[in-house]
Amino acid sequence: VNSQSDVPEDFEYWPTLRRATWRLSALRSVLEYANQYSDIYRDLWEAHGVNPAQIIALEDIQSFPIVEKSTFLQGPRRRPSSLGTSVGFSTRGTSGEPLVVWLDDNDIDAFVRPCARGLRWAGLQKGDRALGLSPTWHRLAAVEGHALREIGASVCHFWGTLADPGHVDYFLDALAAFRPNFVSTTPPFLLMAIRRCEKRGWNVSERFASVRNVSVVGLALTPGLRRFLTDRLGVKHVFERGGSQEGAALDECSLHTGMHVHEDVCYLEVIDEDGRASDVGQAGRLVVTKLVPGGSPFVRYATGDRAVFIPGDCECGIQFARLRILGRPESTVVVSGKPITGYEVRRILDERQDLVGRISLLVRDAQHPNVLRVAIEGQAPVDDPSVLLAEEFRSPDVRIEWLGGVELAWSFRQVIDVNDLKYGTYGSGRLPDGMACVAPTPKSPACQQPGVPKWKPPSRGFTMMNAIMTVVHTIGAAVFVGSNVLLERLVRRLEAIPPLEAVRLSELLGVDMAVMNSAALVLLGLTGLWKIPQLGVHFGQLVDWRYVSSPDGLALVSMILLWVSLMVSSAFMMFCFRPRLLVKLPYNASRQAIDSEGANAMAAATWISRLSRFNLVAGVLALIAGAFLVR
Amino acid sequence: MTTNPVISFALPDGQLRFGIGDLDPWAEHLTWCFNFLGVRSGATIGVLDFGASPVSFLGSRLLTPGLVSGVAERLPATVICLDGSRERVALVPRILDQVSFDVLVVRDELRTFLLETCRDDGVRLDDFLLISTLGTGLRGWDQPWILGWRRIVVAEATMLLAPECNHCRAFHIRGARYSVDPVERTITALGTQWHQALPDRANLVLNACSLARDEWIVSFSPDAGHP
Repeated sequence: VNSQSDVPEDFEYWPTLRRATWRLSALRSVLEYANQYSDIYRDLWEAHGVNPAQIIALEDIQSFPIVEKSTFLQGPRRRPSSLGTSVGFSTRGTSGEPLVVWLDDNDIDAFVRPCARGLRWAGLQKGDRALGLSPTWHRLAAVEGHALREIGASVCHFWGTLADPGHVDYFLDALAAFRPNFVSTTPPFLLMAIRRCEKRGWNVSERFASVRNVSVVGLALTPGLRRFLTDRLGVKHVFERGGSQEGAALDECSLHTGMHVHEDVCYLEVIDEDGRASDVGQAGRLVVTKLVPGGSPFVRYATGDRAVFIPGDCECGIQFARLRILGRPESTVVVSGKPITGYEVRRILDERQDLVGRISLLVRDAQHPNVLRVAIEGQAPVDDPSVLLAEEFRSPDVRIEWLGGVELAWSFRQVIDVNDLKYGTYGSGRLPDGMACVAPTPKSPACQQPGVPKWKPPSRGFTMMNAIMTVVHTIGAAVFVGSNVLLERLVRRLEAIPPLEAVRLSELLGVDMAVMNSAALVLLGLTGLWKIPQLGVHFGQLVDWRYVSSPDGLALVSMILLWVSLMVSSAFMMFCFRPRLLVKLPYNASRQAIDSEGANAMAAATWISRLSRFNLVAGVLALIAGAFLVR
Repeated sequence: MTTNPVISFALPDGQLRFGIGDLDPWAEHLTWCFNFLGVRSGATIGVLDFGASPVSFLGSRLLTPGLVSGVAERLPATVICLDGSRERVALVPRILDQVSFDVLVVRDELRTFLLETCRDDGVRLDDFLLISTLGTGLRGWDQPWILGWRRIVVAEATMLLAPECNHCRAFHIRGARYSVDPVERTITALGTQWHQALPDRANLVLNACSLARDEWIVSFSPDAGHP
């Protein structure tokens, strides 16, 4: 029987038959291990009349029963195995229940080799600095630290957790402080990092300047998303990795033609609904057998993923089979009887420059089983992608909900229920695992409070109200600036006539202008108050230096300050200087009094002229800031 | 494992770097802290904390390269890594259906959420030894005693790990691991330049707890340290 330490250095280049012989030996030892240490497997196999001794070829494993998570969740609470050192990890529970999986020395020893192999494929070299996954996040992450050391790279971990978008700042800070050559993370976290950089006005590729390659795990990369990430980060390659707590381990080579299965540590099958092996190229259920006799044994474990083996050989020369993991039932909707995964929809959308990087969620709608419904962040582009999706999935009815200003945090979850969309909640009370939430900034309270309903798609009435507010705001700004331009020209013309007549004329015309200006300013204030939350900004952020120092924050706060200064200036004009123009003297007023009041009126007119010029400049600056905000 | 790289942690208030051989003394100290808090050999310990927290990365040699023997190996105990996220806290009631815990170590920011989650799911935590970790910046260090909880200060950037005493209700500074400068009011990990300044309100007292003579304790209430 092979032990994992016997895995040959060049195993990935061995021909299929030779690998199969080696793997058969590993499989037998795993079956013996499971039979010896797992009551569940022993009882199950006995009930099915199978035993490890009857395995003669790898394919004989197909006679063994398939187990699912529910198999392990039945029965009383257990204490962990007391066999040597043991560390437990919990799955994310995306299918409803988490599963605790045990890792021991044998597991670490066995999985370090394929992990290091994958990291080498991804270009990691001895002496590199790597910003790695947090070791407590996943067994893959725990193994990764040892693999990095095996290669001779130094590893840095950032503060916080990959599960919290609010911690993306710590990741970016670590990037700046550690200057890694290699980054290992998840696609959602990477996308959040890009967004955060943009919010803060940072150049993303400068932030990633030291990084040569990135490796991501946890969400299948579409070709469009890979190109997007590679371009935005300015790295040479973005590699995809795959791995499950149950023992599946996969990595891409530099040709990016699909993930190679590390055949020394796992035996993966893709089966159809009848439990038969699917043909290569045909999607089906993914079944994992961990080929390591250690930790929690997994033999023919259906992970819930849908996957497909990629036909043909990879030109890189690696002989390991290639697999594409498509998604899980919880990331799949059924339209006209056909399963459609989030990956398949994202693959189409991510080809569009105006859509790649936006979060899209499939909407499960039992009332309309023949309608493909997708919720997408942002406003609808000119060229609606519904037609593309309808063509691709041969579904005549595709409905896209554009989420407008609602901004979501990237997560692993890819499907929501139509009621969530309708009522603006994700489930009853508690936010499901990994669910997206409103995230004007990653540290917003909304992201910190999973139990709170997160967002509401805008109702028709709200949308109409928002449109009215936008029109009023725009008209208000145009009226204000326009009236001040007119006033400016008027003041210049008045300089050509005798001063006292000019004062009288400006007093007469000024009333209308002042009323118009004041009305416009009040409207701008009210509609502006309405629009601030629509920009995805909490009022509390207006006093948060991190937001204020960002380009958007600077523009918004400048607008507010300019508005306040305009209010003050207009108040001075209305209540301080304008009354001085309106003084009526008695008929018997002395010449001295008339001259004195005339001088006062002229001084007031001069001030009004100065303030109206200030108003004009401030109004134009506010317009520019506003245009920047809605760019 | 042929080379001798450094493992680093990028923290909000600096970078923490460990060479080979640096980690094990800290794992020994954390084991002492856990013992002090009442964690016993053979315990199953659930840890709801970040990977960059010493409470997590010193948990087992399986988690951290360069660590020969972590808490799991020293006590010995079994460690379950649950990460320091609300996502994982929300799973705790369902994880408890599968695994019986003896100890639950929770990052203090998550403590309230854990209690709410467990209350909503009808899960009682009375059977567990509950430990909350007061993290970066010593937030919450001066908060009053919490009934039913044991606490440990974890100042990551200076590696100050100080458990709260059940007897004197002050935080114990282990003499074998730290030196204390009562004039400058700093605590320094032996063999390092990691100085931890104490908050103004903290009382620094020597020989005040009968459980650990010749040791400094840090308290925030006037009567602490005089049980």
